[in-house]
Amino acid sequence: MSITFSTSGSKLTINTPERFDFGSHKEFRSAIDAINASNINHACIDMRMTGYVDSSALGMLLMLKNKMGNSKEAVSLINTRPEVKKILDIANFGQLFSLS
Amino acid sequence: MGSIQQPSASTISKALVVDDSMSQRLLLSHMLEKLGYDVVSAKDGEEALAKFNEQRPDIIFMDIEMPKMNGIEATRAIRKVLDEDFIPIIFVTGGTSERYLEDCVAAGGDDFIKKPFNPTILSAKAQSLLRIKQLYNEQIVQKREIEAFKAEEDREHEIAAILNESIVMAGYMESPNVHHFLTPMSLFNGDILLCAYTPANKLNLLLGDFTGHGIIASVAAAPASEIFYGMTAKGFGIREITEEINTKLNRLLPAHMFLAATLACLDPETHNLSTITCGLPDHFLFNKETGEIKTLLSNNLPLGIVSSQELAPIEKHIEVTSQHRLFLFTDGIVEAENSSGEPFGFEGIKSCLGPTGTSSFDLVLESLQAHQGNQSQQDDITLVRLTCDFDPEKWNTQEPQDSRVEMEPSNWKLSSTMDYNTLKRLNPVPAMVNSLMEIQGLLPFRESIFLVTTELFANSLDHGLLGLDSSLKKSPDGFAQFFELRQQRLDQLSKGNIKLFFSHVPHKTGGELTIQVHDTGCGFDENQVLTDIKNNDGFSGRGIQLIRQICTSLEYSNDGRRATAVFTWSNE
Repeated sequence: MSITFSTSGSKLTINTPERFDFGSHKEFRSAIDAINASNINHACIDMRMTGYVDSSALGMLLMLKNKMGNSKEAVSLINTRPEVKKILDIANFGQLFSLS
Repeated sequence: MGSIQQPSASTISKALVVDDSMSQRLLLSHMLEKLGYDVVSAKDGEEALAKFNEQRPDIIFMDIEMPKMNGIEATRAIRKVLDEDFIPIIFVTGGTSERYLEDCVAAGGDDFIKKPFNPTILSAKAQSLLRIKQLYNEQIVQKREIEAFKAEEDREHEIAAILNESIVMAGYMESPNVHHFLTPMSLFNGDILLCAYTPANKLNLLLGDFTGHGIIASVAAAPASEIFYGMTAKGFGIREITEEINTKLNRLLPAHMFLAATLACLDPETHNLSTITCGLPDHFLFNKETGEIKTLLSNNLPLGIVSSQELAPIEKHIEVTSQHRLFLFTDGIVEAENSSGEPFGFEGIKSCLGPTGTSSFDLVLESLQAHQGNQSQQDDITLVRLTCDFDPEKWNTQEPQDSRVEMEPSNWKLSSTMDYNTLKRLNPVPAMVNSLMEIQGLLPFRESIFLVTTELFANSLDHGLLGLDSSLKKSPDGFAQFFELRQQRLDQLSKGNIKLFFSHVPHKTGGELTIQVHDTGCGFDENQVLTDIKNNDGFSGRGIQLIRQICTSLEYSNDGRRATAVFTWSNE
């Protein structure tokens, strides 16, 4: 399973895989590159498939946020499973992203 | 023969034909030449070996029965020389020689061709083997590249280990209260453990986990550890250290890199354990006597992501006893999987913490090993136990210093006033005490002077300006409450200042340092404090008692707003 992404208007949706870790780096980069290409002002990370994230995945999310101009509202992480939510909570990412 | 393809399109392949019969040799050579090969020939195994060494053909046609050295022996010898290189060897068979086929394969033959030769089959076999040879050689080149790459990576790991050893571990002070287990690979995984004592003999500890691996993590660990050791030696608290490391890493690291870390400070005077948790998994504070386990959640962002102002680290305070053990770890231990892929988890660690005689630290490691079974060591494990043991012997870790002051004792005065805005932002004591060391070189007495100044300053700020009541600290809950309230009031502080005044006069063999701290707060009833101390009402008096032990005098004036302590030193 790999990362898929789609754009609709000014919104970019990225679906993260079962294991969201260093292996996803290249694909995530190309998803982020889609931001350059079009007029994106909101990124939505759909994590419903994801059961594991590692610290490089957290790094990728920070990279995305950086790309989106560092505003908290610009990136939302949705459909987080409890085990993933726990990791995001440990990193206190609720301060940086809108989580649901 | 028009349908028969030439061998390689770009280069001409060289064939070695070995046969003791001259007619066979000429026939096969002629056919191969017609197919576009460059041909050399040999009349027996011995000559074949010599021609092979001299000419390095691309393909060999080998007769089996020959005088001197037969084809099988020659093949064995050639394979030995080739080692892991590959040249196809085709055995030429016919008549009775077919009974040797098995031996031919065992010696390293790749194919057979039967007399009389069919040019189409000869060409097809030769080409297909040459194609295999090409693939094989490409693979060998790739294999060697990978090996070289791996060797390069191993060397980088070695450098990372050396860097880590010399920079990150340089300031590490062994402490009987800190027990740790780090698998060698966890260093390359970006885990760091730092530990040192402040001049006031508090124990500062940092456990961190960088995103990134190997040399990258080691490079980023260097500035973090230098800040940690430098500021600890100067007596800064973990909040200031956290902010400084965060600022540095925020500037230094790319957006996707950060340091998940926990800083802890254990104070043997107040029995206070302060922690700042930034993105590491939950830690456990375990009471060995009662079996109670308190979970310390990460309540700050990891370091290096936002500015220190945005980070505004939350510091937690807990009063601990000698029975308390703080277990800290990075994510490797939580995620360590068993054979069915289940993680060890927080429960795995917690289940080892019980009121048993065995060391809970060893239990965690044993239980983890049992969990991982045969696949143990697959994960990088970092486990640290901070023992909150206040046995004075364990705190005599400072190295004895030469107690002589080299500088001539002299007359000087130094004063500094901090208004409420400054007090909100920084603790002036480390910087002030450092400047005293510059003026008079009182290094041998640095700890004592630091301690006295810290205690007097804390009293002025906490009780004078912030109006906090020490009796709050009587219960463990109240202790945390006290610090929470302290932070709250400090944030809201809108007036007042604290003045620090130092004066020094020489006497016969040394000198006398007067330390005065004056605040503009509401003052206090000094007699009450003195009574508390006499009655050993523990909580508020400890600092003052300590000052009295160190100093020749301690007096309060101006309704408790001014404290004057005199520290006398001698070179004799």
